Amino acid sequence: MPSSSGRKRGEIERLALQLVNEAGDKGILQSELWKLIGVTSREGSRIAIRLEKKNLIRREREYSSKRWTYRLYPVRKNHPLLPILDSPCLVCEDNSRCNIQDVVSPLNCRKLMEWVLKTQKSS
Amino acid sequence: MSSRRMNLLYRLAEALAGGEGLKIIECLVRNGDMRDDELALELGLKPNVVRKILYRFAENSIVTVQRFRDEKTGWFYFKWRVQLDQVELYLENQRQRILNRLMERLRYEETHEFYSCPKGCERVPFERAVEQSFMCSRCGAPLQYEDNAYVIEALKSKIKELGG
Repeated sequence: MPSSSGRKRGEIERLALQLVNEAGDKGILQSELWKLIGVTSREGSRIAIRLEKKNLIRREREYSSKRWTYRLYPVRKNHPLLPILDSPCLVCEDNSRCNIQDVVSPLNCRKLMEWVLKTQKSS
Repeated sequence: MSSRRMNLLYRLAEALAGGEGLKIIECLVRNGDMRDDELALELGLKPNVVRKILYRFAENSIVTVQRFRDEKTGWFYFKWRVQLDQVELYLENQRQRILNRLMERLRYEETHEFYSCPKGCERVPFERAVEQSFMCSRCGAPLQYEDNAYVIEALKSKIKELGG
């Protein structure tokens, strides 16, 4: 559904998320964010709630300029990247076209399962 | 430079192209932009081997290439450079892909019964085993029911390890 400013909801959410991520550990006040994006506070708080539900940001209540608002923080997920370095997918020629609806599929890939079972045995 | 990124870069280079790949990346990190023939000369490797590895790195976005024309000869030459900022993005993207594959496989394993050849030729779901009259399509041996609890357990543990 287009927002009051004519932009799509997804586009505004992406922009909001980007600004929250850029703010980093300091976070950013919800009221400041809407001014930067150019949407109303009502629309803004709805977007923040949606982003929080998607677990992309964290909201903390804060008293600022004589009223209660929220400070928005990014949810940083430091996913482990090292375990995939020995996965067969990285060096597989079919990596880009491996799909469950295709002939090359993770459902019948022996190498993938050998990798999974190998780590299970060694742990 | 972030040591975490550098560590990931070296590990990725080694995973993609072994020891030679690692040498190439180390050389590029040390010297910045380099031509493939310069790399081959410095590392004592064959130019075609170096190019092949560089193309593989470029496919995986960890190096970038620029084309130049030699004024005198009119020939093109290529300069390669490491893209350190792409390493984490690339790996995160791959992690997500692999995770999705493992989840699909887990769903498949949990919702199917499997039969396998005692000689290890094949492993098929119940539906296909029926079509084959419970005989191995390769060696003709009777297929045996396989308890796939260990597979499900291994998949779950791998998914957890990858942050899923």
